[in-house]
Amino acid sequence: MENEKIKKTLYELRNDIEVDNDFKKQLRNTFVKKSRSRKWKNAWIPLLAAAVLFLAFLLPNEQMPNVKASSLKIANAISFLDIGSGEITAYTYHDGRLYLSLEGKGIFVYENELKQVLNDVADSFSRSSKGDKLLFTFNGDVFLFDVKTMKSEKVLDGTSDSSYIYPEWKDRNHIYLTKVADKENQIVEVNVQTKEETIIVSGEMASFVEKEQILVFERHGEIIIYNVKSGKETIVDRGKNPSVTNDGNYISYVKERSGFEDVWISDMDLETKNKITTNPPPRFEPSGEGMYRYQFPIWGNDERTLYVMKKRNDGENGPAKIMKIELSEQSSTEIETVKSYLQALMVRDDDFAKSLLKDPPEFLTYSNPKQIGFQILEKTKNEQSTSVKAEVYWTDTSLAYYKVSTYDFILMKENERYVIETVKELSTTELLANEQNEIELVKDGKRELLFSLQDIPQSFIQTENVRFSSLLHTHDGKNVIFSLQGMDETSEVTLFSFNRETKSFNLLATLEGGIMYKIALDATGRYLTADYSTDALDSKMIIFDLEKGKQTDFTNVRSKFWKGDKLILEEVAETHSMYYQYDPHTGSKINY
Amino acid sequence: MEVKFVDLYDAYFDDVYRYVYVKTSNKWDTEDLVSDVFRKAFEKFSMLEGHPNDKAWLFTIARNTVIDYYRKNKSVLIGDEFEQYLSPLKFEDPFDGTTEKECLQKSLRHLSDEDLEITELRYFADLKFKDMAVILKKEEGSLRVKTNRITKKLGVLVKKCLGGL
Repeated sequence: MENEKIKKTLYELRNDIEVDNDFKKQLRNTFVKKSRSRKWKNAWIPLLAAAVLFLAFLLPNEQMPNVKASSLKIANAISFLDIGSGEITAYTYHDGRLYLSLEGKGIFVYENELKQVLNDVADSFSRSSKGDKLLFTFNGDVFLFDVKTMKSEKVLDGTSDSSYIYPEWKDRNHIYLTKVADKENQIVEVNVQTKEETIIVSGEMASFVEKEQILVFERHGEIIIYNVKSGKETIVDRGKNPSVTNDGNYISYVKERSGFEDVWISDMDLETKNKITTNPPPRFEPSGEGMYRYQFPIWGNDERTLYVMKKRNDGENGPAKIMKIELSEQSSTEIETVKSYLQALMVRDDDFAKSLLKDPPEFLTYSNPKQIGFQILEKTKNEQSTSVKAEVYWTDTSLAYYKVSTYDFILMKENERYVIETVKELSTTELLANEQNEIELVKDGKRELLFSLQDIPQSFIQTENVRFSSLLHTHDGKNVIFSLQGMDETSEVTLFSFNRETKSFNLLATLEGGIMYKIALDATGRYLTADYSTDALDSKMIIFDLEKGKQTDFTNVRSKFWKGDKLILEEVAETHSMYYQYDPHTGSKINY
Repeated sequence: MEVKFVDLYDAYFDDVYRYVYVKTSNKWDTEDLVSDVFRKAFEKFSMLEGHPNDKAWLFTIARNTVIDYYRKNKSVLIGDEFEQYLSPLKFEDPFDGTTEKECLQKSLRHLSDEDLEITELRYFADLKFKDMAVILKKEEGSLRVKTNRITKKLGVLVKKCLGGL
């Protein structure tokens, strides 16, 4: 082929790519509007401020200013609920509470604890409520669920021809449902009183926005907005599991891109979209899919909280987790960003941790050694970046190993939020037991022998068959707190402190029938947690007040990490586990 | 500012769209990436002042956005050679065109990464050599020579392809 012909054909190939002019127009409008609103805002700032103040009195507290989806930043995200045994079949959020259905177990409400409220199981819940009434479906039938009386009532029978799922309130007498059919699912409207059914449109999982009279639903892997009056359809995006906020300003959905699923939000007017998770690649074999699969991102009462179910996609097929994602129009500060990052590492929310890094590495978290706490040391503003120095505490499960690393986090502002550009380890101090049963302190490569097993007064040791287990040193470096693991048939753990100046030992606590798991110290150095399991493998934890010598015992609880002087702990039940924040000063706990 | 940015948008949207499409081979990713490109350009628009070449400036953003996208989505492949992992040229819909056109399309897949990038910038993004020189940080003259060689190479490959039919 001649050169000229090649060139001509290359241009022909180019012209064969058809430009989507609707998309071109839609995107263009966002820039025209943006510029205009900027000018308008500048001129009317005083008036706007007054209006906001005025509205703050008029509007209920939960009403949030309506900003574009692209302006919402992730303020925090944490997986706070693990369902260990059994599947979560459905969940919804109503009036500050999360309602979950667990396969074969019933419907539960999450509020300070996970409490069963119904024996019924749901395969889908309504997104919204009418008064105190939620809807749910099970095996094709539709039920009304009164959250005040905690009673359910069947309102519609499914048959072999008409099986219903994904209920949604239209008004007090009408509901939208997805009618499951062999060929194609239909969204139908049903009069609850007369049971009269009208087919609305092909699709499934509809959310209804009353003020706009629109349905948002999924059809063939696309999210669609359907105007109930005119029948006009608009494609939002490719995706599944759509859900709209109560005020109808945003749509949440799950979208897959190159095998990686993520949670996205879009403005209802489609002006902007925003990806709010960062699904990392799987830990082991690259499979072309992300580490997590996400399902059903639903909104809390306000327009700033999302709940999403996520499951591991790789070799570590763990339980389903519910993650809470908090959005804000304000950017997190540099220190908040570093705190969020370290928290995400400790609870192994790799997707959130990665979203805070500029160039995330392939793997972030490992089983061992693991981080058990941190303390922010200082913040320094440079010309174009900010440096945040933090100490991070590490341990290795059931082993006599402890490390304090000081890191320098360099943060830059990118798209109006801080991201961690680099993380540099400045120094490390390790505390460990060597093969001769001696405790060594290794600071930046220099070894110092602190004491050996033989140095411990014999009166403290019940049996000779012991080994060093979890240990740490206090923040001032003056004391080492360590544990001795009894290796006899009936195991026993003893906690000691060792004063480096006086070389004296002090017995802190004896945990009978225990296998030591880890110990950790709060940021103030006053409270110590020790996690251990009994011979019957129950999870136990103590909080030891080093100032007062007082011990508080917990059963079926594991410590996750110290967030300053508050403990993030995990309550472990037969079917699930949940995270709480515990204040050792007051003995009170709050849920996520 | 408003008028100017929209002018830039109107002038180069189609070129950015086609350039991104040829990289991603699908409409959805193209739309996401094109949105990203223009949002970044909008945010950085004040920096364009004093830049001698607005199209080269815009395409530097476009090219970096595509590279970032592949880096983030295939982080296993982070490294200097990431460009070799950019998806091979393929289109969602088969062309109605001639056999020669099909052969040319196939031949593009046999180009080295650098040659493919030059071809995509030249023909699919419709860039001038001086713009490409800014984006690729190479001499304009060497890009001319290189493009000529690539065209010849494609001619040979197409001939082979046609002969093999």
